[in-house]
Amino acid sequence: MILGVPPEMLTWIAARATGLASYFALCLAVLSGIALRTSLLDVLATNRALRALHDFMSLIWLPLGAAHVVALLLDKTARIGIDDLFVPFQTEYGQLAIGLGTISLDLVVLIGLTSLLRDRMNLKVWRWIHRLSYPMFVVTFLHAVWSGTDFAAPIVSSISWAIAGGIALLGVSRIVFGRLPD
Amino acid sequence: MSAFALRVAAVVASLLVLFGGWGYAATHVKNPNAPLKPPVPGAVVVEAAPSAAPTPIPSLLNRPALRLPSSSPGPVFNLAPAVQTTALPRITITHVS
Repeated sequence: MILGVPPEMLTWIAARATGLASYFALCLAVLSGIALRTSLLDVLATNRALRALHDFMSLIWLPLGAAHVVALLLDKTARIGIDDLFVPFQTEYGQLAIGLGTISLDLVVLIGLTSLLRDRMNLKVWRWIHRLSYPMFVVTFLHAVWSGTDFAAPIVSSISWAIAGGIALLGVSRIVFGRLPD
Repeated sequence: MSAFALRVAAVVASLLVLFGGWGYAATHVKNPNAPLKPPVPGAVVVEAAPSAAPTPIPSLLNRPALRLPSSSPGPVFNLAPAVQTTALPRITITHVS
Protein backbone atom coordinates (compact mmCIF):
# COMPACT_ATOMS: atom_id res chain seq x y z
CA MET A 1 0.00 0.00 0.00
CA ILE A 2 1.30 3.46 -0.92
CA LEU A 3 -0.47 6.35 0.82
CA GLY A 4 -3.33 4.00 1.56
CA VAL A 5 -3.67 2.91 -2.05
CA PRO A 6 -2.65 -0.36 -3.77
CA PRO A 7 0.37 0.26 -6.06
CA GLU A 8 -1.53 -0.66 -9.21
CA MET A 9 -4.15 1.99 -8.39
CA LEU A 10 -1.72 4.74 -7.45
CA THR A 11 -1.73 6.60 -10.77
CA TRP A 12 -5.51 6.38 -11.05
CA ILE A 13 -6.09 7.81 -7.57
CA ALA A 14 -3.42 10.45 -8.14
CA ALA A 15 -5.05 11.48 -11.42
CA ARG A 16 -8.41 11.92 -9.74
CA ALA A 17 -7.10 13.80 -6.70
CA THR A 18 -4.87 16.15 -8.70
CA GLY A 19 -7.68 16.69 -11.18
CA LEU A 20 -9.99 17.84 -8.41
CA ALA A 21 -7.34 20.01 -6.77
CA SER A 22 -6.19 21.62 -10.01
CA TYR A 23 -9.78 22.37 -10.96
CA PHE A 24 -10.37 24.00 -7.57
CA ALA A 25 -7.16 26.04 -7.81
CA LEU A 26 -8.07 27.06 -11.35
CA CYS A 27 -11.43 28.27 -10.04
CA LEU A 28 -9.62 30.45 -7.50
CA ALA A 29 -7.33 31.80 -10.22
CA VAL A 30 -10.23 32.68 -12.51
CA LEU A 31 -12.22 34.10 -9.61
CA SER A 32 -9.38 36.36 -8.53
CA GLY A 33 -8.78 37.37 -12.15
CA ILE A 34 -12.40 38.40 -12.68
CA ALA A 35 -12.39 40.15 -9.32
CA LEU A 36 -9.71 42.49 -10.65
CA ARG A 37 -12.20 43.80 -13.20
CA THR A 38 -15.27 43.91 -11.02
CA SER A 39 -15.79 45.48 -7.67
CA LEU A 40 -17.84 42.64 -6.28
CA LEU A 41 -14.95 41.24 -4.24
CA ASP A 42 -13.58 44.58 -3.10
CA VAL A 43 -14.92 43.84 0.36
CA LEU A 44 -12.54 40.89 0.57
CA ALA A 45 -9.26 42.57 -0.36
CA THR A 46 -7.66 45.35 -2.31
CA ASN A 47 -7.02 45.04 -6.02
CA ARG A 48 -3.29 44.75 -5.33
CA ALA A 49 -3.84 41.78 -3.05
CA LEU A 50 -6.21 40.12 -5.51
CA ARG A 51 -3.68 40.64 -8.30
CA ALA A 52 -1.00 39.04 -6.16
CA LEU A 53 -3.30 36.10 -5.49
CA HIS A 54 -4.16 35.79 -9.19
CA ASP A 55 -0.47 35.64 -10.15
CA PHE A 56 0.33 33.28 -7.29
CA MET A 57 -2.43 30.80 -8.17
CA SER A 58 -0.65 29.79 -11.36
CA LEU A 59 2.09 28.37 -9.15
CA ILE A 60 -0.52 26.09 -7.60
CA TRP A 61 -2.86 24.98 -10.34
CA LEU A 62 -0.22 24.57 -13.05
CA PRO A 63 1.79 21.90 -11.14
CA LEU A 64 -1.43 20.21 -10.07
CA GLY A 65 -2.68 20.20 -13.65
CA ALA A 66 0.67 18.85 -14.86
CA ALA A 67 0.51 16.11 -12.22
CA HIS A 68 -3.02 15.27 -13.41
CA VAL A 69 -1.81 14.89 -17.00
CA VAL A 70 1.29 12.87 -16.05
CA ALA A 71 -0.74 10.54 -13.84
CA LEU A 72 -3.20 9.92 -16.68
CA LEU A 73 -0.31 9.25 -19.07
CA LEU A 74 1.13 6.67 -16.69
CA ASP A 75 -2.19 5.06 -15.84
CA LYS A 76 -2.87 1.90 -17.82
CA THR A 77 -6.63 2.07 -17.49
CA ALA A 78 -7.06 5.61 -18.76
CA ARG A 79 -4.93 4.84 -21.84
CA ILE A 80 -4.12 8.46 -22.67
CA GLY A 81 -1.26 8.84 -25.14
CA ILE A 82 1.19 11.65 -25.73
CA ASP A 83 -0.61 12.65 -28.92
CA ASP A 84 -3.88 12.96 -26.99
CA LEU A 85 -2.34 15.89 -25.13
CA PHE A 86 -2.20 17.94 -28.31
CA VAL A 87 -4.76 16.50 -30.71
CA PRO A 88 -8.32 16.35 -29.31
CA PHE A 89 -11.01 13.74 -29.96
CA GLN A 90 -8.57 10.90 -30.76
CA THR A 91 -9.11 8.67 -27.74
CA GLU A 92 -10.72 5.24 -27.97
CA TYR A 93 -13.51 6.23 -25.59
CA GLY A 94 -15.10 9.45 -24.34
CA GLN A 95 -13.84 11.42 -27.34
CA LEU A 96 -15.82 14.56 -26.52
CA ALA A 97 -15.23 14.61 -22.76
CA ILE A 98 -11.50 13.88 -22.97
CA GLY A 99 -11.10 15.98 -26.11
CA LEU A 100 -12.37 19.00 -24.20
CA GLY A 101 -9.62 18.35 -21.68
CA THR A 102 -7.10 18.39 -24.51
CA ILE A 103 -8.46 21.72 -25.77
CA SER A 104 -8.34 23.07 -22.24
CA LEU A 105 -4.71 21.97 -21.87
CA ASP A 106 -3.75 23.58 -25.17
CA LEU A 107 -5.41 26.85 -24.15
CA VAL A 108 -3.69 26.70 -20.76
CA VAL A 109 -0.31 26.34 -22.43
CA LEU A 110 -1.07 29.27 -24.75
CA ILE A 111 -2.32 31.52 -21.94
CA GLY A 112 0.50 30.52 -19.61
CA LEU A 113 3.26 31.09 -22.13
CA THR A 114 1.91 34.47 -23.21
CA SER A 115 1.58 35.51 -19.57
CA LEU A 116 5.26 34.72 -19.07
CA LEU A 117 6.07 36.82 -22.14
CA ARG A 118 3.70 39.61 -21.26
CA ASP A 119 6.40 42.27 -20.87
CA ARG A 120 7.71 41.50 -24.36
CA MET A 121 4.31 41.43 -26.03
CA ASN A 122 1.93 44.01 -27.36
CA LEU A 123 -0.41 44.63 -24.42
CA LYS A 124 -3.52 44.62 -26.59
CA VAL A 125 -2.61 41.26 -28.16
CA TRP A 126 -1.76 39.80 -24.77
CA ARG A 127 -5.05 40.99 -23.35
CA TRP A 128 -7.09 39.35 -26.11
CA ILE A 129 -5.19 36.12 -25.69
CA HIS A 130 -5.67 36.30 -21.93
CA ARG A 131 -9.41 36.66 -22.45
CA LEU A 132 -9.34 33.11 -23.76
CA SER A 133 -9.33 32.22 -20.06
CA TYR A 134 -13.11 32.53 -20.10
CA PRO A 135 -13.75 29.88 -22.77
CA MET A 136 -10.88 27.87 -21.31
CA PHE A 137 -12.66 27.71 -17.97
CA VAL A 138 -15.94 26.74 -19.62
CA VAL A 139 -14.21 23.95 -21.55
CA THR A 140 -12.42 22.79 -18.40
CA PHE A 141 -15.67 22.75 -16.48
CA LEU A 142 -17.41 20.67 -19.14
CA HIS A 143 -14.41 18.33 -19.24
CA ALA A 144 -14.63 17.94 -15.47
CA VAL A 145 -18.37 17.32 -15.45
CA TRP A 146 -18.43 14.90 -18.37
CA SER A 147 -15.32 12.91 -17.54
CA GLY A 148 -14.66 13.48 -13.84
CA THR A 149 -15.11 10.23 -11.96
CA ASP A 150 -15.79 12.00 -8.68
CA PHE A 151 -18.12 14.63 -10.06
CA ALA A 152 -20.96 12.15 -9.68
CA ALA A 153 -20.52 12.44 -5.91
CA PRO A 154 -23.05 14.93 -4.49
CA ILE A 155 -20.55 16.77 -2.31
CA VAL A 156 -18.05 17.26 -5.13
CA SER A 157 -20.74 18.08 -7.66
CA SER A 158 -22.52 20.62 -5.47
CA ILE A 159 -19.32 22.48 -4.53
CA SER A 160 -18.12 22.51 -8.14
CA TRP A 161 -21.41 23.76 -9.54
CA ALA A 162 -21.61 26.44 -6.83
CA ILE A 163 -18.12 27.75 -7.63
CA ALA A 164 -18.77 27.60 -11.38
CA GLY A 165 -22.04 29.43 -10.85
CA GLY A 166 -20.28 32.18 -8.92
CA ILE A 167 -17.68 32.55 -11.64
CA ALA A 168 -20.39 32.61 -14.30
CA LEU A 169 -22.22 35.34 -12.38
CA LEU A 170 -19.08 37.44 -12.12
CA GLY A 171 -18.19 36.78 -15.75
CA VAL A 172 -21.60 37.84 -17.01
CA SER A 173 -21.53 40.97 -14.84
CA ARG A 174 -18.08 41.74 -16.21
CA ILE A 175 -19.23 41.34 -19.81
CA VAL A 176 -22.53 43.19 -19.41
CA PHE A 177 -21.63 45.97 -16.98
CA GLY A 178 -17.86 46.22 -17.24
CA ARG A 179 -16.30 47.23 -13.94
CA LEU A 180 -19.19 47.47 -11.56
CA PRO A 181 -19.53 50.71 -9.58
CA ASP A 182 -18.86 50.61 -5.84
CA MET B 1 -7.28 40.85 3.85
CA SER B 2 -3.63 41.08 2.91
CA ALA B 3 -2.05 39.41 -0.10
CA PHE B 4 -0.08 37.07 2.17
CA ALA B 5 -3.23 35.95 3.96
CA LEU B 6 -4.97 35.36 0.64
CA ARG B 7 -2.06 33.22 -0.58
CA VAL B 8 -1.93 31.19 2.61
CA ALA B 9 -5.69 30.64 2.48
CA ALA B 10 -5.47 29.57 -1.17
CA VAL B 11 -2.64 27.11 -0.48
CA VAL B 12 -4.44 25.64 2.52
CA ALA B 13 -7.71 25.31 0.61
CA SER B 14 -5.99 23.69 -2.37
CA LEU B 15 -4.14 21.22 -0.14
CA LEU B 16 -7.39 20.40 1.63
CA VAL B 17 -9.04 19.63 -1.71
CA LEU B 18 -6.00 17.60 -2.81
CA PHE B 19 -5.86 15.41 0.29
CA GLY B 20 -9.62 15.29 0.64
CA GLY B 21 -9.91 14.22 -2.99
CA TRP B 22 -7.20 11.61 -2.45
CA GLY B 23 -9.00 10.21 0.56
CA TYR B 24 -12.32 10.15 -1.25
CA ALA B 25 -10.87 8.52 -4.38
CA ALA B 26 -8.97 5.96 -2.29
CA THR B 27 -12.14 4.92 -0.49
CA HIS B 28 -14.24 4.98 -3.67
CA VAL B 29 -11.87 3.33 -6.13
CA LYS B 30 -14.66 2.18 -8.42
CA ASN B 31 -17.49 4.59 -8.94
CA PRO B 32 -20.46 2.96 -10.69
CA ASN B 33 -21.84 6.41 -11.53
CA ALA B 34 -18.67 7.59 -13.26
CA PRO B 35 -19.45 9.13 -16.64
CA LEU B 36 -16.54 7.42 -18.39
CA LYS B 37 -15.74 3.74 -18.15
CA PRO B 38 -12.71 2.94 -20.31
CA PRO B 39 -12.76 -0.58 -21.75
CA VAL B 40 -10.23 -2.83 -20.02
CA PRO B 41 -8.11 -4.89 -22.45
CA GLY B 42 -8.12 -8.60 -21.71
CA ALA B 43 -11.06 -8.35 -19.40
CA VAL B 44 -13.02 -11.56 -18.88
CA VAL B 45 -16.47 -11.21 -20.33
CA VAL B 46 -18.99 -12.67 -17.93
CA GLU B 47 -21.65 -14.54 -19.82
CA ALA B 48 -25.20 -14.49 -18.66
CA ALA B 49 -26.09 -17.30 -16.33
CA PRO B 50 -28.38 -19.95 -17.80
CA SER B 51 -31.98 -19.40 -16.98
CA ALA B 52 -33.58 -21.37 -14.24
CA ALA B 53 -36.54 -22.30 -16.41
CA PRO B 54 -37.36 -26.01 -16.29
CA THR B 55 -36.49 -28.14 -19.28
CA PRO B 56 -39.64 -28.89 -21.22
CA ILE B 57 -40.64 -32.52 -21.52
CA PRO B 58 -40.47 -33.54 -25.20
CA SER B 59 -43.51 -35.74 -24.97
CA LEU B 60 -45.57 -32.80 -23.79
CA LEU B 61 -44.18 -30.45 -26.38
CA ASN B 62 -45.01 -32.79 -29.23
CA ARG B 63 -48.61 -33.34 -28.34
CA PRO B 64 -50.77 -32.87 -31.41
CA ALA B 65 -52.70 -30.02 -29.85
CA LEU B 66 -49.53 -27.90 -29.27
CA ARG B 67 -47.59 -28.77 -32.39
CA LEU B 68 -47.12 -25.82 -34.70
CA PRO B 69 -47.52 -26.32 -38.43
CA SER B 70 -44.19 -26.76 -40.14
CA SER B 71 -43.05 -27.68 -43.61
CA SER B 72 -39.99 -29.59 -42.36
CA PRO B 73 -40.33 -33.06 -40.81
CA GLY B 74 -40.31 -33.16 -37.04
CA PRO B 75 -37.56 -34.65 -34.90
CA VAL B 76 -37.28 -38.42 -34.70
CA PHE B 77 -37.02 -39.83 -31.20
CA ASN B 78 -35.25 -43.10 -30.53
CA LEU B 79 -37.32 -44.83 -27.90
CA ALA B 80 -35.18 -48.01 -27.77
CA PRO B 81 -34.11 -49.21 -24.29
CA ALA B 82 -31.00 -47.51 -22.94
CA VAL B 83 -29.48 -50.76 -21.63
CA GLN B 84 -27.70 -52.55 -24.42
CA THR B 85 -25.46 -55.57 -24.68
CA THR B 86 -21.69 -55.21 -24.90
CA ALA B 87 -18.64 -57.28 -25.81
CA LEU B 88 -16.72 -56.29 -22.64
CA PRO B 89 -15.93 -58.99 -20.02
CA ARG B 90 -18.27 -59.34 -17.11
CA ILE B 91 -17.63 -57.40 -13.95
CA THR B 92 -16.98 -59.92 -11.24
CA ILE B 93 -15.39 -57.70 -8.61
CA THR B 94 -17.34 -54.78 -7.28
CA HIS B 95 -15.09 -53.78 -4.38
CA VAL B 96 -11.48 -52.64 -4.52
CA SER B 97 -9.60 -52.34 -1.25
